[in-house]
Amino acid sequence: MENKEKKVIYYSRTYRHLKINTAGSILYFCLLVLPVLILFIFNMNHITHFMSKCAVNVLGKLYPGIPLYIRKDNFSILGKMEFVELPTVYPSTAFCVINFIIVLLLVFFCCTGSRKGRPVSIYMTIMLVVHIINCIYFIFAANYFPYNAFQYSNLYIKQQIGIWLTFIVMMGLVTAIQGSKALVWKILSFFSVLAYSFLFGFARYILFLYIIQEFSIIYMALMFFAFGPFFDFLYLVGIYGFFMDKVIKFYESAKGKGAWRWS
Amino acid sequence: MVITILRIYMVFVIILMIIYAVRHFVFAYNRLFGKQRLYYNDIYSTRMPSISVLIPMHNEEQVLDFVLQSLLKCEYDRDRLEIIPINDNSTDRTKEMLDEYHEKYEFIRPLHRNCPDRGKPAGLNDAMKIAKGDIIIVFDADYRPARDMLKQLAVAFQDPEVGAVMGRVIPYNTNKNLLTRLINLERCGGYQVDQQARYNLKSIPQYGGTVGGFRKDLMLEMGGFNPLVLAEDTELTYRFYTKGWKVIYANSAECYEEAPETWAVRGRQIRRWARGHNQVLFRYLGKVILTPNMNWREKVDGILLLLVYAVPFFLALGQLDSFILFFLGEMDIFAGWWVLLFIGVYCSFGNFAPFYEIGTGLMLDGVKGETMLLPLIMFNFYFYMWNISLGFLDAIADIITKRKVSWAKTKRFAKADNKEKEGAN
Repeated sequence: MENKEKKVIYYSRTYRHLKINTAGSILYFCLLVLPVLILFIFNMNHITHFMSKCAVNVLGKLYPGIPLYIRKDNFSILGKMEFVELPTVYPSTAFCVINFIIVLLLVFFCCTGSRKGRPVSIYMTIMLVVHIINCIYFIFAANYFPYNAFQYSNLYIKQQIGIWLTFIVMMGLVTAIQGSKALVWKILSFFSVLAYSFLFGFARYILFLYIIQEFSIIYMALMFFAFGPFFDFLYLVGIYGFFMDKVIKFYESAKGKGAWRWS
Repeated sequence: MVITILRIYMVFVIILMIIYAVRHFVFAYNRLFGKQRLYYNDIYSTRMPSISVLIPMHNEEQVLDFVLQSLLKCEYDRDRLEIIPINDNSTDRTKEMLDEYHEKYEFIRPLHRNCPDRGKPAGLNDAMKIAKGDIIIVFDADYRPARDMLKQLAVAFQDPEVGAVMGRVIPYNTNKNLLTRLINLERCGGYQVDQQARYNLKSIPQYGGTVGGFRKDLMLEMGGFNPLVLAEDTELTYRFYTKGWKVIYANSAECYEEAPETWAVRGRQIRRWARGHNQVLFRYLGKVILTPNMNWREKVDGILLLLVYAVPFFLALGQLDSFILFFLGEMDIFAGWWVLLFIGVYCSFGNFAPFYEIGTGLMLDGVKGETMLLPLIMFNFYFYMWNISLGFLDAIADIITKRKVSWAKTKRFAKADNKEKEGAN
């Protein structure tokens, strides 16, 4: 006789929810996130010093003749930060015009054909328009451009510190609250975001300084808006997605299913 | 003076982003850990109301079989059920196909409209006049209701406070391409988390215009749908709330829809939604603030919900504002503490809060693997900002010019698939 019994009984997803582990979340936050945050704040000076030193070493090798200095500045009441001072390279008019034409062609490319109206095309068009304005600025009023390499370097470090501080708190809070039973993945994801963020922040700083030294300050606005915090969110969300995938798999496993509640 | 205004606007945008970030976190937290407010599933034994299922259609020959066949399989007392497909000026085989259904099934009574005022609101108004049911249930033509859907939706009206009910929408063509997969993620966050949390918190679950129902007499007393408003669903929500009625959300009433499969179609859909939603914003913001029929919780959520399709426009202006400040050399707005604040807010607005909401929804639904797509939604932010801003400007132009809005149907893809399969076979 055919066995008509269901082999799998699916859990109803409609009203299921989890019980909050308040004590666990607070403990996690206090024992892991808070110490990391405090450690970061008290070592902000050392971290930015190390970052600046790396940048000076790399740029020093690439441009042996140029003067490079490590400067100090206050970062609000949180303490000191350090950044690299380097000479400002301004673009020639011809270089600005070439940039202008190329970017105009790129905008045309993004806005036509099958690419038109797609998310990446819209994003690129907005950013390229910023660069077009930038090129016009340098063609007609280069002397009035309000920034130099020194200010850009300073601004980058401030922005990066802001990103690091926020990411520590945000990822700490998210992992503290979500998936209380997948502790290993929580800790791993938290430190993955921090590790990636530090490496990415370091590498990007050196790359940006190299670009403004090699190709002039004309790319400052583009780098600031297009490849700034937006790209930090990409990996933050990417690692969060990875974390959630592990959490979901855990709560769907035989071990984790018992955690679900139905009011 | 100009710089001061630009700076003040930047602060305004930051505050706005904080408010919406908090809202998303509250919803996600409530849905994941809060006590869930259950729907009325356990009172099936009571006498069910008579219902009329209205299905607006304009050139729907590709998909109408699916929705009608699904409805024919639905469990509902046939004496208390009628189905009214609204053939709205179709030029394809919709009329012939509906007439064939009518010949086979008496309770399928098509309404053929051949008049200049085409559109969903006008069609629904005409259909309501001939509908025999006390409750109107609406489905779009590309929807595929589950077997118990009609019972699930109709049962809510046993509660005398309920004016309208909304079910959960799930795309069925999820694996078609990247876009449909991303829409599925957004739908998951929007319904499993956002709508259910609003229902839990007794704020404003939104009637979505399809997979939902409302009391016919009530709607007729209020003058029917306004044909000048594109988002008749949002308008119904606010009309009911400002008159003291409740809209409730039935998370268990799951219905499958066809998600747009091309970016162009999705862009037009979003732009139309934004235009319609903002028309409602301009009409109802004052009423929501002043009505004595809504409590403070409903008012706060109601205002935030009304502004949902205006915020991306404000953010677009904010982005422009930041570009101008940059080129004016006024980036010191980001100096010191501003950096912290700006980055913090940008993180949460950079849609981390919506990501958190979507992640929570996927967790509750037990959807494995799809969370890896979350970073791609980041680029959608610009896509939505662009299309919603255009919709917002459309709505303003509607007010200024008092022009008549014309209904645009979302392109269907189902038949093309079938043909491909047939070809393959």
